[in-house]
Amino acid sequence: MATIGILLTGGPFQFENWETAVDIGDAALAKGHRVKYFLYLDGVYNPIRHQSFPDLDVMPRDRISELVDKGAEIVACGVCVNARGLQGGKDYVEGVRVGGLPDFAEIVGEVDRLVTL
Amino acid sequence: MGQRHVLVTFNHAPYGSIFYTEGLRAAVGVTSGIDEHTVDVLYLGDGVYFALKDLDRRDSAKYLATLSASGVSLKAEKEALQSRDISESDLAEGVEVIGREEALALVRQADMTIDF
Repeated sequence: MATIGILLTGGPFQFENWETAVDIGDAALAKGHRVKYFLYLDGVYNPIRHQSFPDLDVMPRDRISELVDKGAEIVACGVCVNARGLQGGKDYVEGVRVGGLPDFAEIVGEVDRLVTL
Repeated sequence: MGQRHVLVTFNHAPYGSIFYTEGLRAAVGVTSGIDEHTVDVLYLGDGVYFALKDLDRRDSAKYLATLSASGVSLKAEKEALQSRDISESDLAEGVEVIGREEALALVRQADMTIDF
């Protein structure tokens, strides 16, 4: 079993990085690997529970909730969260933790591969 | 857990996005954990514009100072500079110019690469 780290800097509804990040994590978890995400820059917009967009059947927050349920570890950069007025991630889906770059440093030390998206 | 050697590359110009300074913040952050990871910083493509000596670096100065204190030098790829008609005399003090082969060697030597 390997551990995969994913650094996600892209937000939802403009670029597809979030979906690629989720698909990679989903596939890795399905094969029994561990997955750790660090949400950085606009990546911190992805887990907001109030998302609504008529052209998407599934919201990023729903895919992220599924990843959490499957065992993925998801940490968001606190400076990025508060810079964007997200108030400590109070409107995040369950299981997404707000931390800091020391958490990312820990992820770097733990993973076998790191993907930047 | 273990110490890793991380290569942080910058491919975006230091205008029009915040990657150039937030990437440096991440580079500093990577060195902040208990594992004491080591970092190389490499400017590629339009990222080499960050190496110009007259650039306004006020928003990234503290990250540059921290990296410098940790012994991290800024490296810029020679071929990227040449293709943008940037001479070495145009570069900020302390920027190390390396060729593409040496840049590739940095990628090979690193445990992981983070792109901004």
